[in-house]
Amino acid sequence: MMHYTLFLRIGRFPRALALTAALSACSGGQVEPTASDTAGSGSATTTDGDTETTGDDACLAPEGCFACPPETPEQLLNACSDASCEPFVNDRTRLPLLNEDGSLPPLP
Amino acid sequence: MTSPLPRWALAGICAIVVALSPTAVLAADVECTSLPNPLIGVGGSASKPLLAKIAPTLRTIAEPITLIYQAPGACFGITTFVDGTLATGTASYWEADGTEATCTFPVIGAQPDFGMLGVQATLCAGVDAIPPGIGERLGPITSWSLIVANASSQTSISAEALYFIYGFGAALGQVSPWIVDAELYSRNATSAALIAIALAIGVPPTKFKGTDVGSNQAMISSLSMSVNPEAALGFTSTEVADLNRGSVRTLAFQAQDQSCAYWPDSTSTAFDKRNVRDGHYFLWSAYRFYAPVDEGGEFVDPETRRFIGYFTGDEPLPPELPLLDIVIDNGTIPACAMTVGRDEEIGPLYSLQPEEPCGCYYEARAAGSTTCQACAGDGECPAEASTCRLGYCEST
Repeated sequence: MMHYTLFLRIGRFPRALALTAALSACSGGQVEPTASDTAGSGSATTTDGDTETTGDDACLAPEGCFACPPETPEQLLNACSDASCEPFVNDRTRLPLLNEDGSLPPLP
Repeated sequence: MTSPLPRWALAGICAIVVALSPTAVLAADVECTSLPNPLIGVGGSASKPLLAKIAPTLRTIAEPITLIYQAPGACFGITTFVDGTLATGTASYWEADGTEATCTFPVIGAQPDFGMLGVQATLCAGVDAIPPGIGERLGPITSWSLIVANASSQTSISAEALYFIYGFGAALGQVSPWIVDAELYSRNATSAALIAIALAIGVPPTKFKGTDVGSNQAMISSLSMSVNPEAALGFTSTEVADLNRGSVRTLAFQAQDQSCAYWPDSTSTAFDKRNVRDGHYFLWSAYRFYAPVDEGGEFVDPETRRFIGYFTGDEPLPPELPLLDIVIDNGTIPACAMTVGRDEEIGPLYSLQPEEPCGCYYEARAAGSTTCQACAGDGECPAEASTCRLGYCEST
């Protein structure tokens, strides 16, 4: 139940949305061979960031990943990597039931 | 059409073929408790492929063990010790040559020796705490996969999308292309896979939508035989998904607060589990063993103590049992290959340096290659990876 509460911490959601948008715009990196993408979720890429930075915000690489040594859970999830990844865009086109502010409605 | 052989002859030939097949599941009228040195486990189906790889060797070690396993659902691995439910019906066991066979429990039932779950037992309904006298030990790591049929074009999914799909139902959730209720496959709330994914997506286990298919293996069948593969979605342990890459694919998963969806492996076709090991793939859990313990916290039953001790390192491994290799070959991850940890199921991640890391060996074994330097001793290793472990230079 605690996780359910945590999940509805929607304050972070727009930030994740922004990161996702940034990654969607990323054009560099290795392309992972995938099945044809009919859902418009973009082709796979990597987040092998090469930004040398020191401040927390400055650690955001052009690809949208975290380019400094990760310390927090969110940084670990978003650490730059040469592994393939594929952004799933959490917008109202893909998720029509999202609230207007991008938050999740309660379960029925 | 008339067969050139009489029916009795065909039946005989078929019986011989089945008997000789090393992968056949033999249905025999054998009572489980009459098998030599039986060790009875109960729990989830996710761990069955791993146990199936270990069990044959256990028949050949100096003090042989017959591993018997019944997989009605992960939570049964703890509830047997909570309410005293006995194992009844049939279970699997394995011959020394790897043949899986079936045995039958006594009509009055049999007390399992251990439970094996893919999640913390206290996440199971009705289990508020581990009962007194029951001990817990951590095993290797499994990850959980959202899967689609190979005929599907989909490649990724997010926690938010799954919230709508499994929380509202496929049709009501409106997340295209997963909008057909009949093609939404699920499990019940005794499944470790369901519990883990439920935690990650914020849907209470008892509110999960979808058709309960009953086991990891049945999930594969349901997806692979779907009449509408583009709309079909299910989940299973990644080990089981990996064993069935010929028919299903793992979707890249994007956790909440994550900006890109990752596969468990570094690519969709790799087997290195790198994203699980470094924290990019969020859906993973440690297997957990449960069994009666004495006042000192030691497992009471000697075979249980030995069996679980092989996993924990508390018991010396028999020379015939290359457990680390078996774990890796199964797609399961030994704790020594992880560089992240978590203190609660599907909880926040933190960086972790294992006391005796084996990530290099893991990569070499699982992926067939590693960038780590090979070595025969510490003296061959550079300062930044100064310890030679299992033939490769590790950082400690």
